[in-house]
Amino acid sequence: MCRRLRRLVRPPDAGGSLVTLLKLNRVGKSFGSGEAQTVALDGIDLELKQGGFLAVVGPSGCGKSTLLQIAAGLMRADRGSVTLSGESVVSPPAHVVYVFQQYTKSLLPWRTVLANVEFALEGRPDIGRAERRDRSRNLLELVDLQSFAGHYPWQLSGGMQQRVAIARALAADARLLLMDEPFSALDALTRLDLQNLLLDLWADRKLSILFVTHDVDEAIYLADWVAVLTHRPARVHEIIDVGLSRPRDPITTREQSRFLELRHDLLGQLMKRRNSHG
Amino acid sequence: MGRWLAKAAPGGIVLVLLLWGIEEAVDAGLVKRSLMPAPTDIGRILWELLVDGQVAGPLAETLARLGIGFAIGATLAVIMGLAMGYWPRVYGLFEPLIELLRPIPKAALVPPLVLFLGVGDAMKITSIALAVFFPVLINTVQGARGVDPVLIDTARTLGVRPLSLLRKIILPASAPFIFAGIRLSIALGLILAVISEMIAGTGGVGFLIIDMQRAFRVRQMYAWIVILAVVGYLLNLLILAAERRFLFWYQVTERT
Repeated sequence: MCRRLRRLVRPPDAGGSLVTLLKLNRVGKSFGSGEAQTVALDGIDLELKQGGFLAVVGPSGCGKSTLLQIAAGLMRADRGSVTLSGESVVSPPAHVVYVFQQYTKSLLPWRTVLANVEFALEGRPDIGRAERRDRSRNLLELVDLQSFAGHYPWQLSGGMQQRVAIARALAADARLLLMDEPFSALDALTRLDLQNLLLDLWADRKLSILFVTHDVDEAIYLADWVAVLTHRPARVHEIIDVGLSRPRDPITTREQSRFLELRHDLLGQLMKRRNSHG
Repeated sequence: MGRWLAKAAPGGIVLVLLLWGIEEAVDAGLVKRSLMPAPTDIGRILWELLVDGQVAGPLAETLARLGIGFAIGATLAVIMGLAMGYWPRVYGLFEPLIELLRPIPKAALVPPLVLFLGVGDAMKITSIALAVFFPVLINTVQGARGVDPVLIDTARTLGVRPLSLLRKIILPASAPFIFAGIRLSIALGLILAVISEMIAGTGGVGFLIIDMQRAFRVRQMYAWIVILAVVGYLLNLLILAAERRFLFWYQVTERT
């Protein structure tokens, strides 16, 4: 139906190192069968370099979460392949952690904040109870929650809960974070805080991040590359090199002409796509 | 305390009025004393049973069977319920069988169990375990199937293996449902404990109730029935206390 869309996909050739970490190769996924079948993803090609930050933007309900779940090994693709450091992803790989938008559902409500972070370390026989506790405390300090260790998640604000989820991902020794609109349920100022926290952690810990969002500003502000998806079926319409200098500043980066230019183009594209699909 | 009193007072008044009404009806000769003794007479017997410690032996016997039967039935039900809730294949395997067995009133199974296991403790404990098993199983399955996929995916992406996932995620997340099943099943278990003692008993509260009835010691019979009522009430309080202890997170998160 949308075959006539121009394909402007060009593979990213910079951003992080040159080593490919995650590669999606012509990934497709459909739901339902027969008449009711809908193609969610169609021939998705994406590549994330080691240490890179790739944002994926697209209209709501275009299959961004599906894409991320397939990359995480939580869901199988119908077509195409996903490889992590050259190895095929069929189940959730080690050192790859998914960060959900619904932080209230992703934290264990019967555990304290500290025990939630420890949860990520409990499968490791090489780490004893005391070390587990120490590491978790240090990570809570890193996300500025040391004084809330004994609280329960539901006693915290949304932003704090998402910090717990991030600390937990780090406890799992995440090298690749797959983030599914992690900040979209937060208020604007909290979102800015968490964006900067994420950028700091990304730089300090040499993480690689695949970040799905519908917020164009957020995508440009955070990422090296922004992939634009089309609406149902989702295809990669374009991959844009952000090219803004780092470290980025929550205020001045957003005032640069390059930022505004990208924002203009991306919003224009997304809105056009939205209108043409109703 | 004052508020509690205000809430409990109307119900207490109804209770007192009812007992007083029965007392008056018996005194006035409207009800035969051989069928329904005066509540004060029953109270006196109850007091004697308590004071000279007669209550302890039979009650301990019944509660021990209930405890063992409950522990076996509930443990098996939780294990099987988690497996059925988590693995659709296990669910498909056992669901028809369970739907078929579930509606049988478990009291009806006591006679065949007597054939297999005789009239001893094995039969009684098995009947109790069977009565406890189904409500806990059904609720556990429902709880386990309803666990939010985000929670399960979170554990999977953190590399949690299936058995740990069942223990650390599915079990606690299903706990509110499991407790609902336990509350139902403890009442059913008590029923089966009493019935099995009535059918094939040499001791226990159920046996005493039917024994006293056969001996026309009606006041004693009623006294033991009152004891059962109190036991049932206390067991329910115990479960409510356990719920408050273990489900503190659930009541809070459900409210928001």
